[in-house]
Amino acid sequence: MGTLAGVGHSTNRNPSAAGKEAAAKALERAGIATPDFVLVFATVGYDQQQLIDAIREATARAPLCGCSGEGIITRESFAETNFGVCVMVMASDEIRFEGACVKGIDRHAGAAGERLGTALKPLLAPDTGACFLFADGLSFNFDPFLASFQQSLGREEPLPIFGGLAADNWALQKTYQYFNEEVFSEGMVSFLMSGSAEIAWGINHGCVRVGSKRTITRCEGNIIREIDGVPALDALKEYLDADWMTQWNKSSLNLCLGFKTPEHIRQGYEDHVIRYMPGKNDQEGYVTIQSEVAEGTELWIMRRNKELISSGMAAISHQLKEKLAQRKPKFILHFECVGRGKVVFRESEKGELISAMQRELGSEAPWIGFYSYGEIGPISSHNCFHNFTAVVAAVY
Amino acid sequence: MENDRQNMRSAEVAGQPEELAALRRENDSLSGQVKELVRAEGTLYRYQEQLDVQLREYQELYQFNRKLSASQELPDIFAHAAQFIINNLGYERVLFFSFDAETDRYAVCALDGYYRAEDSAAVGALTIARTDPLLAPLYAGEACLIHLSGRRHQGLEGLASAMMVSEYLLYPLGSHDRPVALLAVGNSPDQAPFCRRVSDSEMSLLGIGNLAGLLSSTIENQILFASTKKALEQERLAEAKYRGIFENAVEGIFQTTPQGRFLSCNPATAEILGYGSPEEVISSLTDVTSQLYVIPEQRKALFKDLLQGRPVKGFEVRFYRKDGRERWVRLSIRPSFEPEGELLHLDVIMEDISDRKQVEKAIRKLNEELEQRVVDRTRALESANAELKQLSQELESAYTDLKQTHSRMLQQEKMASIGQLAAGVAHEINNPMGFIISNLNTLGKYAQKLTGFIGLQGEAIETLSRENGRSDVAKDIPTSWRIWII
Repeated sequence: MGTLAGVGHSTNRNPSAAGKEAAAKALERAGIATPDFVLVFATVGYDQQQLIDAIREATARAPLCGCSGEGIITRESFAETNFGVCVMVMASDEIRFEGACVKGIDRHAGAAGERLGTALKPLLAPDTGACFLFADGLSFNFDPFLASFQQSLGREEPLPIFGGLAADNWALQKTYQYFNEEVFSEGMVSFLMSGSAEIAWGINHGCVRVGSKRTITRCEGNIIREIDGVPALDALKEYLDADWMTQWNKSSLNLCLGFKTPEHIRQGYEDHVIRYMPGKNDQEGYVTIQSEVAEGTELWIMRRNKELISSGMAAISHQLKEKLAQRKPKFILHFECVGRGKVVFRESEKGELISAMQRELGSEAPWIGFYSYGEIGPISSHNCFHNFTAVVAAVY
Repeated sequence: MENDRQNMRSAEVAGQPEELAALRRENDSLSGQVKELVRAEGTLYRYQEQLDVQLREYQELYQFNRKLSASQELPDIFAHAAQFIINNLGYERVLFFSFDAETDRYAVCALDGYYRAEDSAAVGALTIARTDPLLAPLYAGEACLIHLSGRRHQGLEGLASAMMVSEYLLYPLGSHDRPVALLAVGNSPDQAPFCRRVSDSEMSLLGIGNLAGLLSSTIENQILFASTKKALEQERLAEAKYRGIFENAVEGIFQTTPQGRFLSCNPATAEILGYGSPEEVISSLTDVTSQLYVIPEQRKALFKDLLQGRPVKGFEVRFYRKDGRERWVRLSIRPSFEPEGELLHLDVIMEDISDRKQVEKAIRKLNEELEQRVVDRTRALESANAELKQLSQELESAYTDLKQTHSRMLQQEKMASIGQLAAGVAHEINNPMGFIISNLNTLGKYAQKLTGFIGLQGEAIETLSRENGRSDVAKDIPTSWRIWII
């Protein structure tokens, strides 16, 4: 049998009908009736439980993982809408998928990472090749998570982690994670991929520096309080729209922070790692990012560059094609930052950009992904967190 | 930027404060320009996104309009519009109320966005009285009613609650003074953040306003179309009815000019006259007087009445078919005149009566044959009657003979019966008689032998008597025996 996989999507507004339609299409394309594993990404306009119930019913209650996104990505659709769902079903006698979930991150990403690692450890096998992670994009802090997760997993070689942070279409209120029949927030779901499969991936952001080097002069954890001795918001507001105070979710997209890429991963990556600022505090003048930062860290204010994004996507295609070396991928996962979607590209531009990459990597492999609040993918065998980035992983 | 800083450092080192100040000013200016550029880029992206949304909305509205144009029934129009409002305009819920003249209320006739059966059942039964004060602003010409989340308005809030939304817009469809339908779009409190918010801003109302306008004109067109369609349908039915009569009539129906050219005719005309099609008749027969009438003068004679405006009915005439054979036809002709009084054309109904004529002829012949046969038969009967009389007499005579014969035969029969009886009786007697006779013979022989014996005994007795003197021995023999012995 090998691996049979299929992707279906729906933008029907009725959650039950949408779930059923997407699952039915996926099953039909995979040519299976009972999958071993189901991956789901959906946007937050739906009644999430109704949606997942419908998918579960249509997929014979097979193990399910997934999360909410700002939009869905398949071969046919790159819909950044409040009502979109995509489903991938898989049946395989060469790859195994086993998952676990953790609820209540509650700003304690380190503890959550430990719990997740503990839950996944019994599922590890000698042939486990990758870990996929989908975490709440509003309460996640990657660095403490990674440290405790890898420690509790107890592997000598870190397991490559791929994934994205769940989104809620700029509402910044509540994202959702799906694990089997459960729908919850402030949690994370993860699954291990074991068996005879390999994974090739490409990562690219496409942002450029604006202005000169800045320094973080006061911070704690993932909170940046001061830049160059002034409140962080004061340092940034000159670059922001007039209505940045009320429209932070969109205004902050036009600006991101770039940190010098650490030496140990520099060889495989660009000059900067990018951080989005999902939160701010007007009274105290600070901004939050999704990973830890230390005082004295140099940073640059960055902006997206459409040309760089486009050429970066092409670079991902070439990178993957080179790694695949004529081998056909069994399926492809795509985690794209919300800041690289309709907020920067026109619909037609965005469609052409992703389609070109899909065409480049072959028109057959099932392709599923979502627009995320943060992307996860390894660089030079180091698991890294990204913003304003595309992570594309092909399993072959 | 890095170059600028280097230049500034160089200037400081060189102790050129003016140059340094100039570089700082330039740096500030450039920095300000970069910041401006970044802000402008952000604004550009935002406008671009809005433009994309608007462009897509217009494209979708255009597509929807085309789809709407193809829909001719109100339920289809409402169903398409509901889909458009939900999927393209992005409102969570939509309801269409159509006016019911019988109840004088607007009742829900289409809905979408209610994905729980109990919700759709509840709102599906919703009605609004035409006279509800809530609707008065619409009748007065308001484009729509707007109920925003959290705004207090008793009437609007009540309807919001009934429609299970917290914010909504209500548009009249059709004319304002008497809308044929109402359109309500809105969002529930839970879903509102993910849907197009209801707002009273001009921009926000643009999409749904355009749609409501489009629907209004479509519905009015539809109503106009429906009435036109009905009228056309009636006309079509009437035309079809008469066309059907014309096309399918057994009788030939045609129009000719007074000069004798066919203007039109039905298939039956062609069939009666032996042509393949009405077109062939029209093209072939250019002078009916000479080409159709076996006796052309008959048509000329008809014109006397026709020119005086008198229709001709039941005129039987022989026409030539295409193959030259004759057909009897019965014509009813109505003349049509120009307003000026000139004879325009003749409307003719032609009935093929050739078969009838043949039948009539056959019947006549049959009648004649029958009459002859009656005469012949009568004659034969008279002759037979005479013979019958003769025969009757003979029969009477024969009958008498027969009766006598019968009587005789009866007698003979009786006699035969008696004979048979007698024969039977004789048979019954003959047997014992035979027996008796047979025994009598035997007895005779015995008697003869006895007689001989008796004679011998007599002789012996006589001899003895004579010899003994006793002659009375014979006296001792019984008398009865004597007989037999004798």
